[in-house]
Amino acid sequence: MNKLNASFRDPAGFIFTSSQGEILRQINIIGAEEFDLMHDSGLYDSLVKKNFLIQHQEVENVYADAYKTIKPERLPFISYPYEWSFGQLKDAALLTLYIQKAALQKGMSLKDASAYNVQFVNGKPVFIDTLSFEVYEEGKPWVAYKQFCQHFLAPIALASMTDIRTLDLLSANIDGIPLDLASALLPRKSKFKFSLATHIHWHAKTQQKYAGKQTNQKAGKGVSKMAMLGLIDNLVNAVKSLKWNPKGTEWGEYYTFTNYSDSSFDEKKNLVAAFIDEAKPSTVWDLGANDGTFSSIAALKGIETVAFDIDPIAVEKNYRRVKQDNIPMLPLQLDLTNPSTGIGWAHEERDSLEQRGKADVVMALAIIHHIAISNNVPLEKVADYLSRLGNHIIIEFVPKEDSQVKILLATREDIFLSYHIDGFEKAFTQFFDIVKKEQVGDSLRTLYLLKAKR
Amino acid sequence: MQQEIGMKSKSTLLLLVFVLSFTNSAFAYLDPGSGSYILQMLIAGILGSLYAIKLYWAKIVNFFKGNSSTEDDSLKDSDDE
Repeated sequence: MNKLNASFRDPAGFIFTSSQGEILRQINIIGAEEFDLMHDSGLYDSLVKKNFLIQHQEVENVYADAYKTIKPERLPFISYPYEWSFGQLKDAALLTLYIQKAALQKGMSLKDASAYNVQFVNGKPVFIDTLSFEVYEEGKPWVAYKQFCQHFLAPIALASMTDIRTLDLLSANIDGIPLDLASALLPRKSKFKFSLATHIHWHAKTQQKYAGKQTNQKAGKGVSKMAMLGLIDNLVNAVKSLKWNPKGTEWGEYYTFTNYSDSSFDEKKNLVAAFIDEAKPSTVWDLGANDGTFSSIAALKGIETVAFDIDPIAVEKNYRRVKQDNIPMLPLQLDLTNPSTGIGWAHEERDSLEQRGKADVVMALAIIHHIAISNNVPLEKVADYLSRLGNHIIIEFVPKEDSQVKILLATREDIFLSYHIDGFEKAFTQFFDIVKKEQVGDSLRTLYLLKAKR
Repeated sequence: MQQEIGMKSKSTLLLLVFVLSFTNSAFAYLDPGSGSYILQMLIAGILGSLYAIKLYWAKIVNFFKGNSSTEDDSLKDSDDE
């Protein structure tokens, strides 16, 4: 059985790959009541109609112990919360709360509120865990409240009020930011905000106070439905009130200050478009996408495009543009010198970047000098890794005479003796064949279309 | 706020007893956390009341505006505008 490791915790069902390579989800007998209520109550239809929940169709059971087996709609690219921009995490949080509210109206409730239950399709968040619903019992507190605070509210608050880079904590904490940690890292002023004082600071204290305590009698009235709706409403307002504006920094205004003349910049766009047409990809990863100017060329051709960048400001700007202009593209944050690795149990719950490939085309525009010079990675190693990520690559070589490289070398000794166009070709042709090679307008840069040898 | 908890310690103990009566639910695979349950009960009254007031207020406003739309805008992020 090819069970996928992203779903082993929930006894209500699991995801597996069929012998035909399709991704299927089995609903176990134990999850039958919830699955049927989700359909019979109209919850499934109303959420799918709005594109808030992933659509599925029922297929024949593969395993004898199954209640039902479904085939969810195919997802173009699985991304993880630690790769999302601030706005993406916020939108995923609001979607989760909206779904909880919709579920309550239909007599159901979310039994988990993991950020990993949300994926981005065509730039918009979609809830993918069809088995996250349980029957709502009036009076019962929200079982996923803690998880919501850890996965969403704490990181959003930290990014907004402490430092945007705290979002990186999500890759080290697969079940979200521990609330006592968030409480310690948030500034004092967060204690004067009712929602954060309650859901983070007070929450952390009560967790500590009642950790591991247990008794077994029944009493009291619990959390009424009105209170539950009030809680969800309060969380919605808390998430909405937390802001972060992408301004300034090294990359934020990159294209305003490049050394490309307008005509060369247009020329580069035309070349990239022509190389894409030549390679005929169905998937493109742009590894140094900045605000997505070049990734959009692929996305607007109808190609599934992921636009990675190291800078949270660039990614956030790109995400806002994607949302506003409805560009079918996925902006993500990625440090190519330390790309996402496999995490979770046995490193298998969340895939590394490479495991999510290969992409048909990987674009590496104007980043080679940052990897090879700022980060001291030998060109051969760059070529090796890129050949593992993509079948074709579109790569721009930026020579030492280029003003951007001069800036990088201004403050350090030039130890990069093989960093020149011949050295570049020597390194890359070990792993690739050159398909096209063009000088970009009146600049000193050269654009290559390369095809991986393996 | 801490003092408030101290004063309420008796009633929260009662809540704890109640909370743990829920945790035997058959398919609950997440540990909801005792503290997280208790906090929800402590804030339930105030959040429920605030929400009820908000709903009635919206009804009144809609009545005078002649607006019958009850569209949920909880997904709209003000950053988008």
